[in-house]
Amino acid sequence: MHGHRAETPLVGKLDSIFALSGEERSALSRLPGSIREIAADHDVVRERDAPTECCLILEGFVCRYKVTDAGKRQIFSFHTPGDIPDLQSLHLEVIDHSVGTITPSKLLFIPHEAVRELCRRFPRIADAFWRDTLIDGAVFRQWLLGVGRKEAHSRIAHLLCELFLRLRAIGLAEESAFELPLTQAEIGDALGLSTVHVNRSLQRLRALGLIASSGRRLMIRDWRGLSEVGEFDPTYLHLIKAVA
Amino acid sequence: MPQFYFEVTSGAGTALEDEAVDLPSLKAARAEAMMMAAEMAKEGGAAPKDIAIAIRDERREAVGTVRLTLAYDGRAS
Repeated sequence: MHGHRAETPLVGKLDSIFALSGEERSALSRLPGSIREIAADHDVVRERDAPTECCLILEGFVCRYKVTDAGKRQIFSFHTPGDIPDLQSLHLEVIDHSVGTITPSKLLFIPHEAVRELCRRFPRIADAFWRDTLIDGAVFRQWLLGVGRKEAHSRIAHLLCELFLRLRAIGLAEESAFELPLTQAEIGDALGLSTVHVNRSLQRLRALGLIASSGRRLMIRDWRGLSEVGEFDPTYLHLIKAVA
Repeated sequence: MPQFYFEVTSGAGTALEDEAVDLPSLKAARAEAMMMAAEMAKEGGAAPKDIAIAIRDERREAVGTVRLTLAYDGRAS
């Protein structure tokens, strides 16, 4: 099962940043590694592990998180196909947080040496990886602003805007709707809110006519209104393919 | 998992929650309601408020209420 498997979401992501050359594309398609399918709510990498490979998300939805001594979980970020959520393990030996699946996920574990070799041979890809970790930092700053200073419904509006644009950029959202893969408890863990407060805030956004939902499907009824409530400015995501 | 309804009364009036939340026990529901009251206290700047969160079971029968008052007694300036 080598060849046209794994690289696709990563190629798509890199291609949105710069036009890949044939050589770069073929190197990505020959990346070695093993594909693993991991069930929902399982750890991919655990805090204090010293991984020797990076995991590229091929399918699914993954988060970075830590748990306090009292057992409370804080989710730091969500990751989608094409992301490598433990890329920093390439340079930092011991990982300082855990990476876990939200939904059933398919991941390609690429040996560090192969990623290093790819970066040495193709500096534009190395630059793109660096850029990606910088964007991670930008996302963390936005989330910190929300958790520290914004009201519950505003935090949720911001998260919905972010997820919609990110999923749309990789072709996993429709014109103004997407599958929200998160439970209310997971949204609470990401935004530092109780589940009931998440529930109530989602109802408030619905009552304001900004969103609608049926099951896991979330429809954005008023993008501008939702962005305003969330104080959402997509600049920090640095998506090349901007959405109106 | 048991389901609970949370009926919030604050300055903005009462809104009956039409959506049940799955929680493992009444103890968890109470903890959730207390957390939400504390979170709500922070919202809307430093405005005084009276928050009441009534917890109802899956048959919508009242099982208890969490109350929180954020108030200031003293000189205005």
